[in-house]
This record gives sequence, C-alpha cells and structure tokens, in this order.
Amino acid sequence: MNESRLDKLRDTWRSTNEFSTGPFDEAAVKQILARQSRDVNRQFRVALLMDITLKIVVAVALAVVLWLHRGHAGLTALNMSVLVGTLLCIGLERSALNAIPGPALGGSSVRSGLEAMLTFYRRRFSRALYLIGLSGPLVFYTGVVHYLWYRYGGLRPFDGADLAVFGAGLGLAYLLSAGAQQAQFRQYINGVENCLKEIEENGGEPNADPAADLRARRLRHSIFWSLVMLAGVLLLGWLTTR
Amino acid sequence: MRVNQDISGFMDRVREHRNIIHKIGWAYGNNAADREDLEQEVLLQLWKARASFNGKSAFSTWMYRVALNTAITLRRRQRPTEVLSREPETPALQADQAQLADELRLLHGAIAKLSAIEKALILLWLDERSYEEIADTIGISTKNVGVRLVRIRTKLARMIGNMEKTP
Repeated sequence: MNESRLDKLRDTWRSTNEFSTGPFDEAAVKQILARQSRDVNRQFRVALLMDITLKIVVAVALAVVLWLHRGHAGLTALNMSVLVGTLLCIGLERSALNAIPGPALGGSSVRSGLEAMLTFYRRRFSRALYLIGLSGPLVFYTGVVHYLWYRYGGLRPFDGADLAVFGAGLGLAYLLSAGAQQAQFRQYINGVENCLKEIEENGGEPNADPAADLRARRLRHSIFWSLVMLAGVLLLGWLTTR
Repeated sequence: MRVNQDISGFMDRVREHRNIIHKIGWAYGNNAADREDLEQEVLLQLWKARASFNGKSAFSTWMYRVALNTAITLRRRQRPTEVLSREPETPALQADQAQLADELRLLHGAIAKLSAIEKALILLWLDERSYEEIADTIGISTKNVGVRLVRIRTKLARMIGNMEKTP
C-alpha cells in the first residue's frame, strides 16, 4: 500500500456530494438554536449552580438552627462559624461560575481552547469541587442538629463515641460527595489533557506540559484522602471493638 | 423579529459552508445518531460563538475552528461505532455510488481509528487547506504540520492497506 491510494481516496472524498446536503432548514435550525448545549462549560455551570442552590438552602436551615439554639452559647458560636463558612463557599463558587470560559473561545485555535479549559479546571473548578464536596457534610450536620432539636428539644453533651460517630459521618459524607463530583469530571479532563499533550508533542513550546502539574496534584490528593479514609475506618473499628 | 433576522443572516453564511459541519460529523461521529447530535451541537456552538468572528480569517476557517473545538471537547454519549455512509439514492447511479460509498467507508473506517487531534489534521488535509491555515486552526507551527501530516498519512495508508487485504 502506498500513499497514492490515499491520494486517490482523498480525490474521491473531495468529489463526493455526501457533505453538501443535510437537514438544515429554517424550522429545524430554530429548534436547534433554542435547545440547551451539551458542552462541558454548561456542565460546569450546572454543577456550580445546583450546588450554590443547595448551599443557600443549607444556609437558611442553619439560620433557623441559630435561632432555635439561641440560648446555647457554644453551639451558637459553632453554628455561626458554619454559616459564615457556607456563605464563603457560596461566594467562591459564584466567582468560579463567573470564570467559566465563554463561547467566543470556540473561534480560537484548538490548542488555545484546550488550554483555556484546562486552566479553568485546574485553577478554579478543581478547587470548587472540594467546596462542592462540603455540601454533603453541611447537609448532614444541619440535618442532625435539626433532628436533635425536634427529637430531644436540644443537644445533650457528646461523649467520645458520639463525637467519633458524628465525625465519621461528616467525613464519609465529604468523601462520598467530593468523590462523586471528582469522578464525574476526571475521565473527561484526562481526555482533554491527552489531546493537549498530543498537540504539544514535538510541536509546541519544547517540554511544555501544563497537564503534568494537575496530574501530580491529583496523585497527592488521592494519597492524602486514601490515608484519611483508612485512619477513619481504623478509628471506627477501634471504637466499636474496645 | 430581530432574532429571526439574525438567525436568517447567520444561517445564509453557514449554509454556504454547511459541508464543513457534515465533514466534522462524518469524521468524529461513531454512528448516525452520534453524527446528527454532533452536527446539531456544532451548529449551536457556531451560533453562540458568532460574535467571535472578526473577519480576520475566512468564515470557513472560523467555522472549522469552532466545529473542531466542539468535536474534540464534547462529552459524548457512549454508543457503538458503525461505518458511516449514506445509501445511494438514484437507481441509475447505484453502481458508481456504491463504489464511492465503499471508498468512503474504507476511508472512514481508517480515520475512526485515529486520535481526535490526528483526525483534525487529516480532515483539514483532505479538505486541501493550506499548511498555514492548518497550523493556525490547531495552534502548532507550520513546520510541525508538515512533519505530523507525513506521519499520519503513512499510518493511514498502512491501515487502509491492511483493511483492503482483510476481506
């Protein structure tokens, strides 16, 4: 097989009218333009908007908790800190929302488009994912405090085992919530990194690999959270068997 | 009313180069449904990015950039791959068109095995775009376009040769 066969196929490809026809009548176009895009920027936007909404609900629930437990000074201070933290998360996620690359980037080169997406993911969205992961523990905490109020009319003093179970619940809620979010985007970002790496091989600036930093950071985070989970399981095992 | 005029004007320009959208769908779509999805998404992205066309490059070059960016970065639904080619429509031309369809099927089968970036490069080469335009669209140097195209064409020719040997 030599390349003249490929050149012949190229001539066939160019001479076909296969690509000159298609269902682009006005009614169909209007329908297409009115629908929601499936691009990843929209998925970043939806993930952030959904979490901001959830955190606003949590913030309102926390405000109710603050009012219910207003006579309990220690708990008021804790709830106030959690509420301020929640509001801070909402602010940071909103800032990430505003930093999502716009559709105008579609008109730039493939390399610029991939770099912009990876930069946004690395600098803003991957951090926002850790904040999104906090929604799980926040819902757990707010739910437990509400439950204890309506069940017992307040909080009883916690002993070591209570704190361990409560802490393990918070930890697991965080790991599940953050893990699910990370997994949702990881495979996709791996694909973007590979495309960018392929573009830069032998071509772009020598030895440039903007994806390497992200990969190294991801490995560090995976090791750290695996150790945290292992410690949590060991602690739980020790508490239940002692 | 204004939106309708905008859509109409925009579509007139896109229709002139509609073959770019179909070529992207052909190269990146795994099957008919995937191809249709991708073509619709490209059209939507062209509409959303229309303000970024500043006239510095040809409209078709801008269209290629938006379409390739969309095809490479879109999160795809998982669907099985199938060979893409429309069936011949006119009975009198069936023999010729059947041969044409076979050739396109062969080419598509080989291109389907390339990476997303290789597909972009070979698609622009098939469309006889200049090295400068390819370099500008992908974001690499003109020299590198030449080096890579030699490599990809050799790979593609070998794959086509193997496919022709295998019944």
